[in-house]
Amino acid sequence: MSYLNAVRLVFSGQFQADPSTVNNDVRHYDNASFKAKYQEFQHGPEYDGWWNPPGSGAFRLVNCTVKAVHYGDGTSSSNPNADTIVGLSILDSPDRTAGKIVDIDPQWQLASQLWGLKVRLTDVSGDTAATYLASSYLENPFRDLWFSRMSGAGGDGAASATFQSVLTDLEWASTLPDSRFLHELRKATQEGKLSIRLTTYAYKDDHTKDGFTSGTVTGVIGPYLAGEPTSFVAGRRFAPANAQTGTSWDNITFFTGGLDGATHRLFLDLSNALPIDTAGKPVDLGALNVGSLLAADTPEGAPVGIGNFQPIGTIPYRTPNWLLTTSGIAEFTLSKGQMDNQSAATQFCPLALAVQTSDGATPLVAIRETTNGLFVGAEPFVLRIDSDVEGPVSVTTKLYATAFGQPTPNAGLVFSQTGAMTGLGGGGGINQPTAPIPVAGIPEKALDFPLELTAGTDGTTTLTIQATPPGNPRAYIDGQLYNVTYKQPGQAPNDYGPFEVIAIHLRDAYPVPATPTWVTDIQPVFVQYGNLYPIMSRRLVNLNDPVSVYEHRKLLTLAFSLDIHDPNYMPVTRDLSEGKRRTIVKWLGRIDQDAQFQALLNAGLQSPAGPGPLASAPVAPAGATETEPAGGKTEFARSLAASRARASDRAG
Amino acid sequence: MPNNVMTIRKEIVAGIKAVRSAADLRRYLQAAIKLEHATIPPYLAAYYSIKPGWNEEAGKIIRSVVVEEMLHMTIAANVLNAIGGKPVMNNPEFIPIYPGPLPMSVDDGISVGLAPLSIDLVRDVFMRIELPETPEYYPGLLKSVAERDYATIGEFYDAIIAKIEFLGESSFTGDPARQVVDNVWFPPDQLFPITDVESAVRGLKIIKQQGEGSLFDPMDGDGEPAHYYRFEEIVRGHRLVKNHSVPKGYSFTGEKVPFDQAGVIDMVTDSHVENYPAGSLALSGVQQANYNYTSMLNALHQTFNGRPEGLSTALALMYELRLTVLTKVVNQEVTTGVYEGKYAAPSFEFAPNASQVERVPVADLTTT
Repeated sequence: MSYLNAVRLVFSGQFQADPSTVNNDVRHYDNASFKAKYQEFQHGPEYDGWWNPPGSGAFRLVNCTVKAVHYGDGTSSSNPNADTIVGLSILDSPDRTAGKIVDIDPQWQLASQLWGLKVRLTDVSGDTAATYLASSYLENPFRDLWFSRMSGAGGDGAASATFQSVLTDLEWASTLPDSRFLHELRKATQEGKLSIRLTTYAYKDDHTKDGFTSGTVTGVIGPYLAGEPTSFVAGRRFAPANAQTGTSWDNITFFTGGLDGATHRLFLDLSNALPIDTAGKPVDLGALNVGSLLAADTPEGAPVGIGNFQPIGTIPYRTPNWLLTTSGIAEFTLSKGQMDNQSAATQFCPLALAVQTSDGATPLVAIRETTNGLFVGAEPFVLRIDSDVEGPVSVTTKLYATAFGQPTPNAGLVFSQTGAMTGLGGGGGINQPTAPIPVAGIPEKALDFPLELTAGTDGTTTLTIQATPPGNPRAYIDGQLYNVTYKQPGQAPNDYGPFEVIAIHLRDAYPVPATPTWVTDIQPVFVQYGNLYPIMSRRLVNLNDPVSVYEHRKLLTLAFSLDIHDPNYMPVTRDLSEGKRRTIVKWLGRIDQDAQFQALLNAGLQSPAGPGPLASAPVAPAGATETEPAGGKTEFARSLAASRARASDRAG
Repeated sequence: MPNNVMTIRKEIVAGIKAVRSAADLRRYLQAAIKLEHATIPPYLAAYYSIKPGWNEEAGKIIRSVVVEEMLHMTIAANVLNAIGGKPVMNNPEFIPIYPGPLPMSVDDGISVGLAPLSIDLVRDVFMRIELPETPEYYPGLLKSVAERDYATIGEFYDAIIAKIEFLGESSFTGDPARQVVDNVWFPPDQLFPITDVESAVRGLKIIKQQGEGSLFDPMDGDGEPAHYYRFEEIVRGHRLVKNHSVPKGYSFTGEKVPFDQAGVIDMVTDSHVENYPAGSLALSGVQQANYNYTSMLNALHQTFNGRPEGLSTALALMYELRLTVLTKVVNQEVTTGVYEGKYAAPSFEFAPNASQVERVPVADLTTT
């Protein structure tokens, strides 16, 4: 059950996410209509470069410390004198650049991945430090993003999500402290990996205010067991009844639990599920109890009591600092009587949270497990595919079908494309970019995969997607963005999250030319990156300026030749096709033979571009513009909802 | 009168002359690495203070000097590795306290701080740091040999060179695989493996020549003026070019190097992280820059201790530091406290959270 394990470590602190937001609007990819002002912060009703145009893409862990450790026998400690791991720091890399937070495409901003993030457990003491564990976060994206978590806040500041992944390349110190927790963790984990889950919320996206680009993170690290998915728990899935809002009537969203059949222990991960106030504290909903619904069809909102609800325990979410000190994991040991309703040998009753808003009030189902406990997870669910003129390219993803946390043997799984998705990834406000918003999801024929598959006895199966060149359907932006949906028969529309799809960026085929040239092959790509990432073009290398490109040719060759997991990989957004990337490297290697480029270079050297003082203030003082940030993810989700409504209208 | 120039304590040069083994010489190479590094934060602070689109030529000049100081660090570290030493760069002791004397300086030597770019800064600090020994070009500043109660940087390197020649090839016991020769960053005639007396002397002479030029020639051998004269170009407002009509053969009559103080951010001088208001963006920016800077030193340390391919990793952190400073530090006005009204500035302090120092600190020359 991954980090949902009796053996686990809880840490909390801050994170920094510093994405560039010029690329939030897909229309900014159109070089022809791009304007310099799209690199500026949003000005009132003009979105321009949105809320963080100079973003570096960095993702960092800041001031995170271990709050508690939990042991296999169900006990725990938050006392450093009892276990030396308590109080240590959870840090990112101290000897290479920061990890990066990256969307697959401007037309799919709901599955941001973390690339090149290091995670370490370190004892910092004065100016010295002992790192007991160093590791690499596998680039899994966030899941279960929701937008209405923080009451009293708007935009992305109100949002919350979880990143679940594994830590790999574990480097344990040769000398470890005498810690019961470390001993149990190392003994329990398998395949040289650990499971990690980060929950991120209370993000600050107003560049005029303290805390800009930072938010709260609470995390858990536990064992990884062989065969488990790395990016989700194939466990007990709770889903709100309203598929539109993604929240229950009590404003609780999707979450997952796990019941250990051997130890009878139930773990619920509520770190991302419960609404919070502006101080980051869970909103007091009343007494929350988890229990078994004795009638499987008891809906959300229904009254429960003796006869239709068997309580298991109370969620202690109102305890001070509960979210930060437990990371929102509630743990219960079930009695034999309770296990009788939660056992493969007898029966599985749906689990539910029942809320009692005040003493004496009738408890109501605040949220419950999915229909028949059904769940399907896909991994990976963000796919980058380089199409090839030579023939179809295959990629695979693995599906895990479960019911009540048990594999569904021989589950029938159905897959489909969404078809045309219009209006994805634009922005609002006045004086919007003039380029058209490309239609995503077409042509459908560029993707070929079985529409139905039968899982094996372990409930898993592999979906193979064959991709052929989409033919540049989006014109000014490479390739196409597709969504593929997956489900088990019997799953209701509200049983899976609104963003639980396989997101695919299918890149256009781009055979590497024998003699690539600046004008034909390089400039169109470089200008686009230069436009979209002003921190690079203004501060490092101006990709639209032959002089600057030539001056930095060795650096560019290096950056475009790195492994995609390297935090310095260029482009940061990892959206460049292999064909184009190889073309760039090839061209850089023969830059002196591109006569046309050399002519431009010489002209540039003779009359330097010399922009002079920028018209816009070179240093934007804090407080210069008082605007509400547009909220990148919020805007994107709105465009998706509108797109789906249009598709539904057409279908209807 | 204080010695307002770069000075080296005389006993250090005497100590080099008294060295009897390569092992004894190592600490002086470590001191050289530390000294070459010590000038980088002041130069970078000035460079970062330039507003985008302003003072571009001055910025290029400072940047070009920084790049060469990094080369000098690299060469000194290669020499140290070549004679069987282990460069140390990841220790808080490696970083000078600003404002303060440079490493190995006499007590009343020049005090160096972290300040925004100005003509005064370049003339009164940077040019004095880089002061050459050639009397032609700095009348009055440097005392005559007889008057001096200090040694010069040139004498320091000359002593090391002489000692390496004296000790001979048997000193070169280091593992050649530890040599850092990444020619993506520095050309092969400047960065090459140091494996014997000849290559060591050649490398150390590059440090000396780029810093101060050769006797009677302000050029550094690469066609660029030595550091002192490059900085003087900013003060004079013109590039230094050959001029046969003047007795010295060079004059500051080349392309313009315009400087406008309005194009410099009014940032904090001698920034210290503890002086920023709690919770402010200025504070988090300065902290992040310190984390980047400490990470860069860690990466350099690894590069010179058996991971020579790591130079790119280290220099990528140099770029990250720059981006952090430009987008999260010098654009943040401090609204309260001792720095109120100024823009935040990088403080180049050791970040404990990025520390890779093990429990027992490593001693080096200037702490003993």
